[in-house]
Amino acid sequence: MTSHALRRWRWLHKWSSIVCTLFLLLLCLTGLPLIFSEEINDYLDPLRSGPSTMRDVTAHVDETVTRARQAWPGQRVRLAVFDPDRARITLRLSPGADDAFDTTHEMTFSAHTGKLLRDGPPPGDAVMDTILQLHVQMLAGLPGELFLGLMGLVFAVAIVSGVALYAPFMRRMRFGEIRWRRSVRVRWLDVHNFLGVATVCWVLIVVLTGVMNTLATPLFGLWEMRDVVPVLKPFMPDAPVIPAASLSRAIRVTEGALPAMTVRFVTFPTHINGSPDHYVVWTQGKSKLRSRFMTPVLVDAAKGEVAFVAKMPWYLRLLELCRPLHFGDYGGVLLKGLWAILDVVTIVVLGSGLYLLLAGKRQPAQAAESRAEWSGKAA
Amino acid sequence: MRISMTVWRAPLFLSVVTFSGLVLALVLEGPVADIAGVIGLGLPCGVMAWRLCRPLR
Repeated sequence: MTSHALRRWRWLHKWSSIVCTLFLLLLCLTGLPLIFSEEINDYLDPLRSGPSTMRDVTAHVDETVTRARQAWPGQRVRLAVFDPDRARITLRLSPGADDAFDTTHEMTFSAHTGKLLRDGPPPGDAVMDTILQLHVQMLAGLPGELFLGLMGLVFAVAIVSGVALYAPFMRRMRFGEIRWRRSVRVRWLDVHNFLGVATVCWVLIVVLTGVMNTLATPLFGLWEMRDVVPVLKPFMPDAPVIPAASLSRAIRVTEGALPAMTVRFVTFPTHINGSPDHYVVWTQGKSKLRSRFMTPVLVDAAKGEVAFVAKMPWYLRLLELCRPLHFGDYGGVLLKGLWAILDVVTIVVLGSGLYLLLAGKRQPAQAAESRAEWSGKAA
Repeated sequence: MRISMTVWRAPLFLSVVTFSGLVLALVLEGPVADIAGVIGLGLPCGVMAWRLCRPLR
C-alpha cells in the first residue's frame, strides 16, 4: 500500500466516522434495551399461567372477539395477535375499519380461558415503544428510517476503511497489544484498533442487516404494488365488511391449506394493508429458521374459505432472514447477553474514535508526534 | 510498503468463528445451535477480556 493510498483511507475513515458517529451512538444506546425487550416485557407484565397451544387459541378466539365487541360496542376489531407461548390473545380495536393503526387500542385475553386480562397497553409499553421508534426512525417516520439506513451505509464505509488502516498500524505489534505506558491518546488508539478489529464481523453483520431493515417499508410497498394490488383490485371499491365467518374458522382453513405453517396474527377486513372483503391470515413456519418467514393468506370473510395464498418475493425473504441477525433474538438469553456486551464494546469503539479525533485537535503537537511515529512505522 | 499476512491471522480467525457461529445458530435447532451462537460471539468477547485484563508485556 502506498503512502498516498494510506492517506486516502485515513481521510475516508476520518470523515465517514465524523458523519455517522453520533447517530451510531444513538442506535447502540437505544439498541441495548431492545435486545432484552422480551425479558423486560415479561418482567413488567409477568406470565400468570403456563404456555398454551394454538388449539387453545382457536377454541377461545371467537369468545374474545365477542367480548371485545361487547366491551366497545361501536368499535371494529382490526387485528388479532396470537402468542401461545405466553398464553395470550391480543386484539386491537378502532372506531372505524380504515382508521390509522396508531389510533387503535389494545385488549389482552387469556388463551386458556378467553377471559379479559387487560384493557389497554401493557405496563412500560410507552417507554419501550419510544425507545423502539428512536432506534428505528429517530421519531421522524419513513424519512428518519431511510436516513438511518444511509448512516448505516456510511458506518460500513468507516468500518471497511478502518480495517484497511489496521494492518499498517499493527504491522510491528502483536494482536491485542496495548501500549499501556505510552500517552493516553496512544493507549486509546490501541484500544480502538483492537476492539474494532475483534468485533468487526459482528458489527458489519448488524450494520448491514440494519440497513436492510430500514428498507422494509419501501420493499413491502413494492411487493404490495406488484403482487398484492392486482389481486385485491376487484374488491377495493367495497366497504370493509363485518366478517360473517368466524375468526376460528379462518384460522382452521388456513392451517388446513398450509399444514407446515402456524398462524401468527390476523388482520380484519380493511383498506389499510388488507382487503375489505377478507381476513388476512399471517402464518409463519414451525422450525427456527422458517419461523422467520411469513406467508399471508386471504380468507373470504363471508364464506370462510381460502381465497389466495400470497408468495413472498425473494427480497422480502432476504429481509426476513436479515431480521434475526440484526436483533440477536434467536439463541436464548446467553446469546443476548453476548450481543449486549458487543453492543457496549461498539459504544467504546465509537467513543474512543470520537476521543481520538477531539484529542488530535486539542493536542496538535502530540498528534503530530503520533503521526510521525505512525509514518515511521508505515514507511 | 509490504505488510505481512500474519497481521490478519487473528482478526480473520475471529471473524470466521463469529460469522459461522451466528449463521449456525440461526440454521440449526436445539442446544447445538445455542452452543454455536455462544462460541461465535463468546470467542471475540473472551479474547477482548483476556487481552484487556492481562496486557501483553
